[in-house]
This record gives sequence, C-alpha cells and structure tokens, in this order.
Amino acid sequence: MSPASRFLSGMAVMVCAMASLAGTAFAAPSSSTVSGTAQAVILTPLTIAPIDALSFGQITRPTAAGTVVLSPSGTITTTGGVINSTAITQTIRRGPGTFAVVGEAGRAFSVDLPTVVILRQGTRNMRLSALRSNWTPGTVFSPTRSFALSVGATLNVGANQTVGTYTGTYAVTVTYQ
Amino acid sequence: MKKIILASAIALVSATPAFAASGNTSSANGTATATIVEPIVLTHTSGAALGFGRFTTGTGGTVSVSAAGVGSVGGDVAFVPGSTNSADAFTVTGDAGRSFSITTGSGSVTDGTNSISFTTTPSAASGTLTGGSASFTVGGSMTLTGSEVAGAYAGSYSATVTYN
Repeated sequence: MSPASRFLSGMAVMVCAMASLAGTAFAAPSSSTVSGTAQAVILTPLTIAPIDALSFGQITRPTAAGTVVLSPSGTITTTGGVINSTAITQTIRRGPGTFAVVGEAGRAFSVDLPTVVILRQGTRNMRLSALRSNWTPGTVFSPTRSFALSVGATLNVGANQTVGTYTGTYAVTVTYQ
Repeated sequence: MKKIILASAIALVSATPAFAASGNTSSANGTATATIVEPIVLTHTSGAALGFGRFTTGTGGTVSVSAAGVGSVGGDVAFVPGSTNSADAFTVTGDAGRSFSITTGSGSVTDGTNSISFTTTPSAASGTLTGGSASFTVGGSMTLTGSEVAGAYAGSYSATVTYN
C-alpha cells in the first residue's frame, strides 16, 4: 500500500469513527460499545538545506559571447566565445550547487527550480538559464531518507564581459508528491 | 442523518490542511557564482629581437644566444669584431597572481632567397603575473653548415603563453 493510499484509508476510518460516535449519541436507551480502529501516518517533514554554491569558477574574459554549461554532475562544456575560457587553474571551487533534501523513505517528491537567475556584480550582470538537477520524475527517498540534490545551469557570458565575481541566489523548492 | 453528513464534511475539511502542512514542502536559497578574469595577453617588446650577431661560418658550427642575451659560437663559426647579440623580450599581462606557461617555437631567417632555421629557448618555462604583469626573454641557437650565402637574414618564430 502506498503512503498516499494508506493516508486515505486512515482518513476513511476516521470519518467512520466520527459517524458511529454520532450514532451512539442518538442510540441512548441501551448501552453498546464497540472498538473502532484509528490510523494515522506521520511523515518525516520534508526539508532542504543548501550545502555548496553553484559555482562556475574562474573564466577568462571572452571577446565574443558564449555559454558555459555546468551539468548537475559537475561536467563543464562551453560554446561560442568562451570555448577556451574555462581551461584555467581554479583557485576556488567549481561545481554544481548541492543541497541536502530529507524526507519520508519511499515517498516521491518533486523539485522546482527557477528558469532564470541573474548574477550581479554591481550594475553588471550575467544570466543563468536552463537550471536543472539530478532529480528525475519518480525519484523517491531512499531508506536513509536523504537525497543529495545537485543543481547545474547554463551561464551566459557576454562579449568582453567585465571581469570580477558575479553572484546571485536561486530558490529551490521540494514538495511531496 | 444531518449531523452525520456534517461530521463527515468537517473530517474532510480538517484533513486537507493537515495534509498540506508545513512539512509537505520546503524551500532553500542556493548561491550561484561565476568569476570572469582578465585574459592573458602576450606582447612583443617593441624593438627587441633575437640577435644572432654578425659572424663568419667557416666550415660550419653553431651560434647561440642565451636568454640573457649573451652570444657564443661553436665549431668553426666566429663573431666578427663589433658584433653584438641580444635576446628577444616579451611582456605578459593578465589576472594578477595567476601563473602561466611559456612555449616558444623554432623559426627560420631568410635573406630573401636562402633560409637558415633556428631554435629558441625562453628564459623560463613558466611565470606568474605578479600584480597582473610579467616578462620573459628568449634566446636561441642556429646550426650552420658553412655553405650559407653571406647576407643579412631576418625571420620570425612564435611564442605562446597559456594560463595554468
């Protein structure tokens, strides 16, 4: 029985119990007692906590626009003007955004990501698009109740993008299905 | 009967908020970051050149110029009086503190008809952009057979710097 149907049957039992109680109130003259059954399913609350930032690391300034694609597994690929811009020594971590998601073992959940995130450095900005994660439809929590969520995205770098560090935030929402 | 229906309705209504309680969904903000750094730019120092000097080949040998610009000969090659040597020079600019590797290629000099090949050696295989800039010099070596035609030869070679 799935957790959902278990919950629904618990609800039905609760309704019946209330109904029989109401009935008892009317049937006063002779006493009659039966035991009802009650059921409740308490789920582990769903929580998500950030661990690592989604970091594209250091990229050399391109003369032509291009994109840097960072997959949820951390693979870097490039297009356009930044084709040779990422192959430099990284003095800061480069990798996907990671989150610890905790929920009920065996229960499915969904992950919502924004479609666009703006990274800013003062008045300059760069756009993140195509945010995606290692979550796939039907993913359920393991017996350990945890899921290591990794988030990747596409960074759109402009021609002669001003040097400096660009930062932004993005909201990730997980919901029980 | 009326009461029973009412009780059922209450049970359903109260069950719905319980199911959608705060533990049913959770949100967190992640940080996203990217850093653009200055590209590495190599510039040939104006006026600098790898100068092998003026020499006679005799029956052949070598002419070398160190990255410090000091010339030397081998075999039957001899510098003529007044000959001077020089190392070539480059400047590098880019991301402060970042290190880079240096490679220089071989090349050839020509008098318009005949050519002589040479190899080059940078003063270092790598460098660091202290304060965003660095420089290096290039020496070279030329092997002569003794059959080269006398004249003034000029040519080029390539130098490449790459971020580590």
